[in-house]
Formats: sequence, structure tokens, C-alpha cells
Amino acid sequence: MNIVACIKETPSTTAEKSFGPDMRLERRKEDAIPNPFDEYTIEEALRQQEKHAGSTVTILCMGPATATDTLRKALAMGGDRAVLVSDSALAGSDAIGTARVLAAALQKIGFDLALFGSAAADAYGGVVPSATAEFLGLPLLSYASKLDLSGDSTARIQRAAEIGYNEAEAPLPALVSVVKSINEPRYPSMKGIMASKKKPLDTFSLADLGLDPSSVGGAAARERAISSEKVSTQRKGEMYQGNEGAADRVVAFLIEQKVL
Amino acid sequence: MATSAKVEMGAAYLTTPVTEEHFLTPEKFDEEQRQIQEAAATFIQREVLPKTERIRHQEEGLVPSLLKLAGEQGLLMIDVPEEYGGADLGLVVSGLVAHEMRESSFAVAHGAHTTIGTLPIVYYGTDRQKRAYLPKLATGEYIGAYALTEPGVGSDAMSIRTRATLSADGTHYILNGAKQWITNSGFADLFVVFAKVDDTKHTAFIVEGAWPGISTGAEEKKMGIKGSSTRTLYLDNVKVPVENVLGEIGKGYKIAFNILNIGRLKLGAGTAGGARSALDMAAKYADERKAFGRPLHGFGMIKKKLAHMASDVYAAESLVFRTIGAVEDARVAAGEDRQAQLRAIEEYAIECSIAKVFGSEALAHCVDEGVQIFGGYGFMDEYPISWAYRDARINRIFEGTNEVNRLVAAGTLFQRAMEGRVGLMPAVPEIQAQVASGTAPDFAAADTPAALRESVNLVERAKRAAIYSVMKGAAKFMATMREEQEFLEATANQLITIFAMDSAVARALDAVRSGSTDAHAHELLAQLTVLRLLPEMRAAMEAAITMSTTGDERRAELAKVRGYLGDPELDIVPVQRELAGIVAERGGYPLR
Repeated sequence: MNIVACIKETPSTTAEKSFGPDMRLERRKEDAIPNPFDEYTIEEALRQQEKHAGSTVTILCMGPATATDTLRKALAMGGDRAVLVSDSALAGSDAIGTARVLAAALQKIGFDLALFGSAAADAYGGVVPSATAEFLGLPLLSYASKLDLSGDSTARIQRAAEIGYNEAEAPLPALVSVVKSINEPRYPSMKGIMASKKKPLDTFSLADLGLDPSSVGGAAARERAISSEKVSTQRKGEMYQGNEGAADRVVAFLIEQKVL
Repeated sequence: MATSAKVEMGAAYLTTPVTEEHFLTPEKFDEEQRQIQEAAATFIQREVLPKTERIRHQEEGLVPSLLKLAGEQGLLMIDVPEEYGGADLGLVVSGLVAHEMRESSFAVAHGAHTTIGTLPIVYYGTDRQKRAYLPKLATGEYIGAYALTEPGVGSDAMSIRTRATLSADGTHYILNGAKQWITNSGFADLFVVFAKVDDTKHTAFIVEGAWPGISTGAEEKKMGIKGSSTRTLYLDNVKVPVENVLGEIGKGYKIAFNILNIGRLKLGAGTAGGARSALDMAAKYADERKAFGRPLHGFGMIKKKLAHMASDVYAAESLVFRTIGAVEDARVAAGEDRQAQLRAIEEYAIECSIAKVFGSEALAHCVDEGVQIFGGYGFMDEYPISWAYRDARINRIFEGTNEVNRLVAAGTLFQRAMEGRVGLMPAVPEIQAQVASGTAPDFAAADTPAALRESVNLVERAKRAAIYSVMKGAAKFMATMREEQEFLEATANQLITIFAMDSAVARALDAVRSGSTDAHAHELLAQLTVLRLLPEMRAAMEAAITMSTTGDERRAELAKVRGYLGDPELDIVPVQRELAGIVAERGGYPLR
């Protein structure tokens, strides 16, 4: 079985963020890491590979040419090879443009199961998996908290619902997006890091994928960021001190909040 | 000595201007090295630290299982050649991994296995011995140990009494004796054992733990590193095949001494990491704990402690990784021959000893102040800082006591100076002229950042004042030098403080030149290193002069060197307050 884990390069969650005049996030190479949500994507791909002997795992990423470092980091967790789609015409792509590229790359690579994270830690759009499925005309099982492949023909997932969970299934090839509760990602070991250096890493350009540069990138993007604002972390607190009715005020507050 | 431009001579820091030094700093680790460092840190965080309590109680099988897990992840194969199942990643990576160990008992077990348990075979083993043992040591299938110390025989390693007698048929040596305080002995599968053949020939043997006649005593009850296994190893008519003689008969002491250089260096990396860990704990507590309505780090005396701890870590890291970089360059330049590699490493014997002494003493200071910042809680068993305090103490004792290492550093310097291997003599006339006139040129190059100009000048004057005082004593004591331990100590203390100041200032210059976003933190750390260590250097220099002169000459010489060295103009209080502010803001050691 061919399993492809689709990942994104994002800035480290602790890195200082800034935006350019066009409201695009300024990305610094030294802050780049694999999207933290995608650690679950890769882990799930590796677990499915362990369950299905003879499977291969390819890690696929669209990003700048320097994202090869991020892909090596991802390969340090495991997987057989990586593919980077990189082209100067891709800068400024929106979610639909990204999905168009990933769909073309997935078609070129060939797959039975394509895994996605449920969102990326930078943009939080969360539409790339469904848009990619749409371009490919294939089923998407979204927000999976459990994934079982029966034989080599069907994928079955559980999706957490308000009460209990839903189950859904689809014939392979299919796309599956996963949530954090699906697994506990492994951390890269020293051996994994060493092995990652020797794994094949291919780079595809738009020409390799047969895509017209005008259909992707900033030119084709129909989605634009308008403004950004820092989240204020100032919290409102009230302090009750001493013996002057502090306990009564706490109880009153808890009743007001419907805790008691 | 190799001719690569990168390879500098041992002790060259004494005569090379600080502004012209370029060496490995933690800022220059490459991507792969950083990733492996992170992998080691994550391993410790996820697999070891949660089990600290169980490790301390020596839960049966726990440390060996953690070592085997480390082996599965590759953390035991770093120094082992690829053809014997290793990764052969070199000393920078193994130093970085040692730096991240944090849990002291596990660190000692890991260090004993990977350094003194494995390296003797890497450097001295025959191909057959390497094939038989290295792949197993690299994975952790075998746990290694090193058995040199005996009851009553420690630093005087030549006086061991364990005997090795050749069997009548010439196929075996029969080993008899007792080895004391052997790390990992409770579960080791392989021991490098030192014994004397025919009562005189100091020789190393590879001994398997399962062989008949091997037994161990009870676990020692120690002050710290309680989780590491420390027992007496008894050898009762143990038959060791002659093929398991390691190196040459009668040359076992070479193995013992040469491997120690690497051991000391890695211990320097480990203790620097331990010091950083103590600072991180103390900084976190100083933020959480409030007294008189403000966090502890709002008080001047606590600020001073945090800043001093940060400068300890900075100086230790700087000199340790500088030495590791130089040693690794020299080792690689020496080619494939392992003996040539060891000779290249030996070139840095002074720096290796300093790394051990400075690292362990920086750690001692940091855990002591760490406990102090925690106050009464720091004295309580459930607070990790109290364990760090106990665990730290052994580091000034093992791998050569700090006294022995001071003798090595100073003794090696004088020996090299006599052999003309250190460029001290040619520098003397100019230094004498400068000291006599009491004026020094401005040593800061035009492009030296303003914040570091004074530090550069103090370090350069300290180097010259040290050479002056040391040469003064050398003239008087040369014939009896071995017996002049107090003078050797005063010499070593100058070598140590100068290497620390020099390494810190050169690293900060590098950070500023390369436009680091942390450049200002580097400047403060280097400034504080100089302001703190200069008085120590001065005391050692004055001690050396005092020992080698009397009466009017003493008064005149002391006045000359004091005048030449001068005093800093920079005020220490604002430096330490600002630095402590950065430590508090970042929640620990400011550089990552």
C-alpha cells in the first residue's frame, strides 16, 4: 500500500510572528518546523505502515526550496522518502491553490491512502484536505480520531461527536484528515535523524506536475488576509482577601457562574 | 602535529590575541548536531526524568533497560566506528549528548558505558576484539564498565595490586584482585580491567562479566548519584584468554591516561549541562516564589546569584566546546591511525583538565546557589535541586580529582615550555618590558565592539601578567617543580581563569560580529565572566609571585604586576542586574 502523509512547513509556535505589507506571514528559515498537527499525520502513516507489511510512506510538502530541511526533520520520525513541491510561482498560494498542487502531486506519486492534519498551526484554514479531495474526485474521511484499514480496500474512521462518535468508511484510494487524539507521535531518535539523511528526497516543479503557473500562487489566490491583531493575553481577575466576607463572595461568584 | 590551519596548538590561547581566535561555539553547531542534541534532550525528558525517583532507589533492571533503550535510539553508538556497528559521529556530538543528560545517575551510567567502558576498545582493541565487542556495546546489548581503582589505590593508578598470571599452557591469564567503586558493576557485561603481569607490567584486559570467578559486592551507599551502580568487583582466579589482552603488555597505563583526556572533556560537557539545569530550576523558582510582595528575582542579591550562575554556564560551555572542537579537528586531521589520534588529543591535555575542573566547579557553585535560592525548600528531599546538590559533589573527585587535574595542567605547561612546544619563551622579553614600564598597548582591534573593549584588554593583560608570574616562579622552582604543588596550583588557577575569560570573550566577539539576535546577552555574559574571574586570576598571580620572591623584591614585583594588570572600570552591579533581568524574562539560562 502506498501511504502519503501531506505536511506543511510552519513557523515554530514560539517564534515571534510578523506580517509583510501584503499581510502575508514573514517566514524565516531558522524558525521553520513541520506543522505540529502534522506530527500526528506522520505518526498515523507510520502506524498504518507497521500494520500493513510492504507499505511505503512518502512525506509530501509544498513549500519554499529551503523546506527540504523541514522534510528531513519529518523523515527523522520515519518514512521511506519525501517529495517537495517548490516553485517560485507558488508564493502567495491560497488554500485552493495549495490543494490544486497537492492533488496534482498526489496523482503523480500515486497513492492508496493520503493523510492530512486537520489544520496548520499558522493559518488554521482547515480546508486543504477537502479541497484536495474535490480536485481528485476522491472521498475524504475528515477529523479521524481512529483509522482502520480493512484489507487493502476500505478505510474506516471514527470521528468524535458531541456524544459518542460517528463512524464513516470509504473505499481506497481515499483521503483522511486526522485529529490530535488519534495517536501519540513518536519523537525523532538519533538513529532516525541519521537515517533521514540517506532517504530519497525529490523536488517537483509546477512543470513537473503539468500545472499552469497562473492557476496557482498569489496571482490566482482569491482569498486574502485583511488585517491581523495580537491576541491580548491580559486576563481580568478579582481578588478577595482577608476575613471580610471573602468566602461569601467566592460562593456568590460560583453561583453566578452556575458552578454551584 | 597536523598542518591544517584549523588545528591550533594546545595552550595556544595564552599567546593568541583573543580578538583573533575563532573556534567552535554552541552558536556554530550544524543542523544535524542540533537535531541530535534535541533528540538526546527529548529522550531524557520523556524516558528518564519521569523515572528519577525509581532510578534513585536502584529499581532492579531499570538503569540497564534505559541504557538499552538509549542504545536502540543510537545514543550509545556515537563514538563507535561504522564498520563495527557505530555511527562514528565524533566528539562534538558525543559531547553534546553528554551535555543533555541532566539526570545525574543516568548520566554517570551512560558516561561510564560510552566513554571509559567503550573507548579503550575503540582506541586500543584489535580487529578481532572490536568485532567481538563493539557492535554489542554500540546497541547496549552489552553494558560496559571500567575497573582501575582499588581499595587504597586511586589517583596513583600505577600502584594497583590486581595480578595477572599466565597459565602454564600460555593460553590464559589468571586474574586475582579487587576493584573498588566500579560504576555499572551491578549489571555490566564487560569490564576493562587493569592488572599487573608478573607484578610489574601494568596491563589492560577485556573481561566478560559472565566468566567464572567474577563477582561483585554490595551496592555502596553514596552521598549522591544514588541511582548509579557502584560496587566492588572481585576477581577470583578469572581465566582471561590471551586474545583479550587490550593493547600491549606493560602499557596498560597508557590506555588509562589517554582515555582520561576524552573522559575529562566529556565530563566538562556534562557538568556544564548540569550547571545550566540548576540555573533553570533556580530561575523558575525565583519567578514563582514571592516574598515581601515581589518575586525573588526582584531582589538584588538574588539577581546577583542568577547572573553569576549564568556566567558560570556561559564560560563553562564556551571553554568546553572550544576544546571539543579543537580536539575533534586535531583527531580528524591525524587520520585513521588511532594512536596518532590519541597523540593529537594529548596535545590538548591542559585544556581537557581545565574543562573538567572548571565544569565541575561551575556546577558546584550553581547547585550551591541553587539550593540557597530555594531556601528551606532547597534542603528538602522532594525538591530536585537538593539532589542536584548531592549529585554534583562527585564530579570534583572522579575522572582525576581536581587537584590531580590542576597538577596535570600546570605540569604539562612547564614540560611543554621546556620542550619549546608552547610559545611562552619568545613572548617573555616583550612582556617583561611591558610589565616593567607598567603600560600596556590597547589590545582591542579597531572593530572591537565598544562593550567588549575593556574585557579584551583585561584578558590580554591577564595573559601577560600570568606568563610573567609563572616564569618568575619557574626560574626559582624548576629543579624541584614536582614538589612545589602550591606553586603549581597557583599556576593552574591562572591557566583556568584565563582560559575561561578568553573563551567567553572570544565567543561574545563572535556573536556580535555575526549579528546574533542575542548579541547583547553575550556581551553581558562575557563582561560578567571577566569581572568575576579577574580577581581570582589576580589572587593566583599574586600567590605565585609571593611564593617566588621575598622582601623588597616581593614588594616591587607585586606592585609592578598589580599596576600592569589594573582594575576594571566597568561596574559589576548594573551588568549583573541587567543579565538577571534577561534570565528572569527567559525563565532560565538565556541562550538556547
